[in-house]
Amino acid sequence: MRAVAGAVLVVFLDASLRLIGPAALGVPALFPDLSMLAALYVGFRARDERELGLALVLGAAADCFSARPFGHFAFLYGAGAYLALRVRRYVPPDALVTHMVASFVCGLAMAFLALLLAIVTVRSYLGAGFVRALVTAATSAVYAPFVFGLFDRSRLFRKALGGRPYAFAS
Amino acid sequence: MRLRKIDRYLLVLALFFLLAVLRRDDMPGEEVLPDLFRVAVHRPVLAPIAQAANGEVLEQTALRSELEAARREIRVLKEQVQRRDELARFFRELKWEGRPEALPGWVISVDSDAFTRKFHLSVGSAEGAKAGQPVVEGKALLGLLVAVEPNTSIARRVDDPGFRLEVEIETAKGVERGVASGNGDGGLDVELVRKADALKEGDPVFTSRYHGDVPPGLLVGWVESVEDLDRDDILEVTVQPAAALGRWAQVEVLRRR
Repeated sequence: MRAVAGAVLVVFLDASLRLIGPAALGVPALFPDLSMLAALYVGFRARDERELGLALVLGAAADCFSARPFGHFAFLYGAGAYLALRVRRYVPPDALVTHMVASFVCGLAMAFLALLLAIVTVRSYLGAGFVRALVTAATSAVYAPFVFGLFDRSRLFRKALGGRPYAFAS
Repeated sequence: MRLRKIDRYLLVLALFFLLAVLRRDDMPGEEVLPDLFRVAVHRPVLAPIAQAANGEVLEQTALRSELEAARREIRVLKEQVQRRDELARFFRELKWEGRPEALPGWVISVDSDAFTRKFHLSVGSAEGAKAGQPVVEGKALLGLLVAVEPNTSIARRVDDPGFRLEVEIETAKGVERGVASGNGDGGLDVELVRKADALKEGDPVFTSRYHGDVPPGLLVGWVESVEDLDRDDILEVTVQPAAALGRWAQVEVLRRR
């Protein structure tokens, strides 16, 4: 229950910061996607697919805060978390650069999936949307180690993800 | 058939994908980032949050309107101060015994009589107004007070048929004097002006220095035409008033301090 509340809180915070942060800085593309990073964090921390359900909860919450059809973010975050779970098995243990590279790879994959969804659904602004998704993936990857550290310290998802302190330590 | 954990997870993912595709008609026509306050109104669960946020927006809008109103008020006050400063500068230039003082007032109504040109002012004897004092709009003479009540007064406009005032016409070679009277039709006629070659259209007409209550040098208007129809060497001069008749709202009554 705590993890679900935490997921909603993270998405709410992300949606609010998007209104305030980019508007104040004037650089929306350079703002990290906190919800996406939370989904990747779940993927990196989860012991198996059963714990990836939290990423779906994050996606469903993001869908509630979005103009996109319900299921869009649930699919993207779920797929991203699944990919992160797979990537974790091939990357070396905890390191700053590892966090960034792994997050960027997963973010890139999510950008492609978003493009796929956009081709099926919106059928316009594909190029601009994809470029923005790529930039967001890169920006979020830079912020990833710090955001993951914050999630670890907050202990919001600790119980739901097996109680391990670091994503790459296992 | 028993599904593996991974298969079940992928099945749920596929369901979400299908849901997103099936509901693609909800998709906005452009790239939209999660936008809580604009979009949440369409999600029943989040409507109260959106309404609360909307309340904040409404409050901000009200504050913005108040700010705009305050700015407008400041602009009006600045204009009034500027007007006062100009008048004060003008008063210093006037050669009049005693310093003139301006009593600001508003035109509250205009006489509906078709044969007169009178208006009511919000300045009365309580403020120091009395009959015969000039009413000005900036540096231009607008009329003279003819009746004064404690809190209001009636003024006769310069184009009223009953208006009479000695004026000075400033020509290139000196000053010519005459008596101005309203023609009832937005202008003045100046009588008893001696024939002078220098007098021509466009010459300024000022109040003369021989009045008790009217300071000299107030601009009455500009010469519009000069004629001597009966050839008696006394010119008939028509004057275009300097004050914008019928377009003023705030005026000043001048009195000797």
